[in-house]
Amino acid sequence: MELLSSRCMKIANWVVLGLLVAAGYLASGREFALGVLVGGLLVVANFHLLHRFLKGTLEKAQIEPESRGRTQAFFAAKQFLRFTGMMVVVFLLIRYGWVNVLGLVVGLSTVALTLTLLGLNEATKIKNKEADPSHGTSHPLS
Amino acid sequence: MKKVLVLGSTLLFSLLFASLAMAAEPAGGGAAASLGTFFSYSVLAAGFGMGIAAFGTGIAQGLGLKSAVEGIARNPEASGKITVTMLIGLAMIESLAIYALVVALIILYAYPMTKPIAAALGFKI
Repeated sequence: MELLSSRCMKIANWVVLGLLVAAGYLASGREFALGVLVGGLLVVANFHLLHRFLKGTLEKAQIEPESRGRTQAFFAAKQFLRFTGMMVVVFLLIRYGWVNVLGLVVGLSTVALTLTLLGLNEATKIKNKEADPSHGTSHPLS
Repeated sequence: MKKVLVLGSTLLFSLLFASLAMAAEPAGGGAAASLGTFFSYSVLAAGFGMGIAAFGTGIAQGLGLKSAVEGIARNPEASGKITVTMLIGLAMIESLAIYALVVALIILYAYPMTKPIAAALGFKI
């Protein structure tokens, strides 16, 4: 399976979130783990929405090129609504202190961490492929 | 270019004088003025931090989106790969804005140094 596919990224997001929550629970207790979980859920849901909006917009722009302006406006509106929703939730969480703030920041880093790890993995694979002397030949070099 | 320079220098001077005005202590209220200055600077920091982050994020996302759409227009068969790459880029860029938002909200509502600073100035919060 290709690592940098949207499906793989979504699965990796959940795996990294689970690991972060477990590590947070073991290292700093229940409250911190709850903060990580809430932040992670928020940012992963945000990532899923971003993917859905992006896919829908690009597909629609390809199928109906004449309504490109309207599609762009809808995309901008959806982006605005998504970020506003996220802002309101984060505001409420921090304003009323419902979760641990440090845990929340760690949880919000889930997607960035996952994408960095996947990117590093892909870069290592490409580097190894380029360094392999038998690459590109049908006969292994002895 | 000249207009931008004039606008920039005006903004800079306004900021400079605003901070001086806020830093000036009224007679007879040293501690209260210091606390007021602290909160004023906190609000300024949160606002400017979020503004700068939004500015950078907006430019970066716009550039990324523009290039991706151009790429798809040139080569529609590669739209799947371009979309995934763009998704990664947009998510990474957006995470910066989210961090700035969280830091701004922490400064405004959950700054951990508020109580120690208020206590040091003789206030009870």
